Amino acid sequence: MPTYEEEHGLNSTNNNTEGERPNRLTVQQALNNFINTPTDSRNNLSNSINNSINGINNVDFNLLNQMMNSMNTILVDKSNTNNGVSNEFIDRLERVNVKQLKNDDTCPICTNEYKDDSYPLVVELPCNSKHRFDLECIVPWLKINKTCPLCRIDVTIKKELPVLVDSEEEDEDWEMYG
Amino acid sequence: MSSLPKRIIRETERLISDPVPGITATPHEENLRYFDVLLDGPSGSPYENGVFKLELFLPDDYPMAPPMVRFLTKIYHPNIDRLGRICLDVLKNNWSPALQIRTILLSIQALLSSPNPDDPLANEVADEWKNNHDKAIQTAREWTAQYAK
Repeated sequence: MPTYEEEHGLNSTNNNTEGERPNRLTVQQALNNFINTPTDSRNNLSNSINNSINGINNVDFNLLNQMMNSMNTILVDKSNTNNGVSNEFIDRLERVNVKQLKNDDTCPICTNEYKDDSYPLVVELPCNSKHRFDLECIVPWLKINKTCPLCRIDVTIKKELPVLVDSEEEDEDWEMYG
Repeated sequence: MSSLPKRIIRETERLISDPVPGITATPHEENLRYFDVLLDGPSGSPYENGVFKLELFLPDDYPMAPPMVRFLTKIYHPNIDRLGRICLDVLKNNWSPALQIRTILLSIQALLSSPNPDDPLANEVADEWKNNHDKAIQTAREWTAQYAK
């Protein structure tokens, strides 16, 4: 029997999203390789650069190394802040029953009508039950961002129940201005 | 090149059939992800009566990544640098895949109406904007008359 993922083509989506931002990963790996290279082989590199390119003399490898390190810090910083949600979070997203979908409801990301698909797989985000998307469309976004595309709220923050304002407290607030 | 996503086709059709007033965006025939944009300077701004040319490109990962937009017409504005690059949150950190080409172009038009010299991209322009406001507005008007035709 085909698994759920196979039926909904989730594996291919996962593969795609893991390849998201390939450039950043590659640059970061390259930097790591460079930083972790023993100084000797870097000097060899320096020699070969000097030999092959006229005009580049006395490459300051300390300076270069500093620059590489700070660039790496920036890249690590960026990749941390851009981290999306976990797979568990995606698995736990609320599914929207097809019966709740109107005929002209569209996904805000692909702009297709949900019902174009005879078996639409639609989820809602915890920020608002009206913030619905095709699962296929929202997953690549949530893999790199924690925010709802419609309201920018961090979807991983637990929704707080609205706190009923105590009437006494409200009175006190007013006294402050009175 | 992979086939064009439906969303891009639909956005393009709507840009042509139901254009935003003061904005035209036309895709290149040989690359449907590359648009020539003409944007009218907003009335009441120093860019009034100017027509600004921009280029807009939809990267492969659009709409997960924002469109890339640049002014081709020279413009005197604290958030647009000499190369035409635009400092606008929705083009960077505040991008959302629910935004579209038309909403982005509207945001750029709004940026012309309300420059933000406290978050400058062109530092000299921003300084002038804050310290010698009348002269900055005058320069923006002159540049508009000279370049945005």
